[in-house]
Amino acid sequence: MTNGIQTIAVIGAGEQGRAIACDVLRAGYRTLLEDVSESRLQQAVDWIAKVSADARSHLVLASEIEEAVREADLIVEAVADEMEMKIEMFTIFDKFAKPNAILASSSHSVSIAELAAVTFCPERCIGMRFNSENGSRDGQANALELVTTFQTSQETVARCQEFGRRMGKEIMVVPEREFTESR
Amino acid sequence: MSQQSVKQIASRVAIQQGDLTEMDTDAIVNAANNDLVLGAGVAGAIRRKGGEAIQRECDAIGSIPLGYAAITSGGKLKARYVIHAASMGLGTLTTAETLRNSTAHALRLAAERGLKTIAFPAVGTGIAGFPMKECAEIMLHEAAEHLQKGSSLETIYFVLFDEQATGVFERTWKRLQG
Repeated sequence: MTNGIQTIAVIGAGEQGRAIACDVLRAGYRTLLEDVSESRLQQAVDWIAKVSADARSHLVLASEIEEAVREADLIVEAVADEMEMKIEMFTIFDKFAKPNAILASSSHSVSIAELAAVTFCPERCIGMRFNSENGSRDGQANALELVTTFQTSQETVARCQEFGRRMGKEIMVVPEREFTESR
Repeated sequence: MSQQSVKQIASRVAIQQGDLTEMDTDAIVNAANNDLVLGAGVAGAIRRKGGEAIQRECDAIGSIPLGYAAITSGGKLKARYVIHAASMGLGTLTTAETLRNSTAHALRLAAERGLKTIAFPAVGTGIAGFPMKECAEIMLHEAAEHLQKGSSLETIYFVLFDEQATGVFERTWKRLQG
C-alpha cells in the first residue's frame, strides 16, 4: 500500500539535513534537498555519495525553498534549531505545500505545537526525530521518533509510520508533552 | 528599503563560517559591553589573540553609552582595528534597539575612517542571549542600509561560529533580497 508519500523535501543541507536526506534516499524516495548555500549543497552531495553510492540517483537539489516544497508529499525541515527560524519555515511550508502534504520538524528542542499553531493545518504537523546509523548521531539506534501534538491527526501518524517502516526504522510515537517531561 | 536596491548591494555582504579573530579585514567587530571590559565569548577570544593592548585602549576610553561603538587598534590581530559594538551592559542583555544602534554606529565609525572591509560576529547571541534569527535580521538590515547610503566599505563580512548560525544568516539575507 502506498500512503501517497512519494516525494520528500528536506529543507537545510547541514549535518542533520544531509543525514535525513541520505536515509530517505536509501528507502528509494525521490528527494528534494534544499539549501540557500550552493557550497553546502555540494558538500551534502559529496557526503551522500560517500555514504551510499546509489542514493544519488533519486536526489534533486533545490536552491529555492518554494520550489522544493511545492512538489513534496512530506516536508522535513532541518534548519537551525531555533524557534524563530523554524516558524518562518513552517509559514512558508503552509503557504506553498500541496494540500495533503505533511509538515515535519526534525527539532529536538522546539515545540511542535507552537510550530503547528502558525499553520492552517495543525493536523498535518508532526515532529520527526531521525536517529540514523549514518547520520550525525552515530552510535544510536536506527530509529524514528514521531512527536505528536494534541492536534496531529491519526492519518498523519499512520502515513508517517509507513514512511518510517519503509526506511526500516524502529518507530516510536511520542506525544509532545510526555516527550518534554521525559527530558 | 526596496528589494531592488538590496539586490544591487548583495555582493558587498559576505556570510561565512569561521573564526572572526583570524579575519584579515581592516576591522573586526567585538560584541562588547558598554564598559568595554573584554570578558567572555567573542570579546575574550579577541583579548586572548589580540593581546592586552586592546583592553588598555578600552580602559582609556572608559564606558560608552549602550547602543554606541568605540574603536581601538587591533593589537596583534590581523585586523588593523577592533570596533567595539556595545549592545549590552555588564549584567544587562542585548535588546533589538541596542543591537540595531550599535551595529549602525560600528559601520559609521568604519566609514568615517575610510575602511574598506569589516567583519562582524552575530552580536548578542552568546551570553547576551539574543535570538540568532532576529540578530541576523537586524544586523543584515543595518548593513544593507549603510551600504545603500554610500560608504567606503566595499565588503561587510558576517563571520559565524557554526553551521547553524551561518545557515540562519544566509537564509535571512536571501529573504531580505526578496
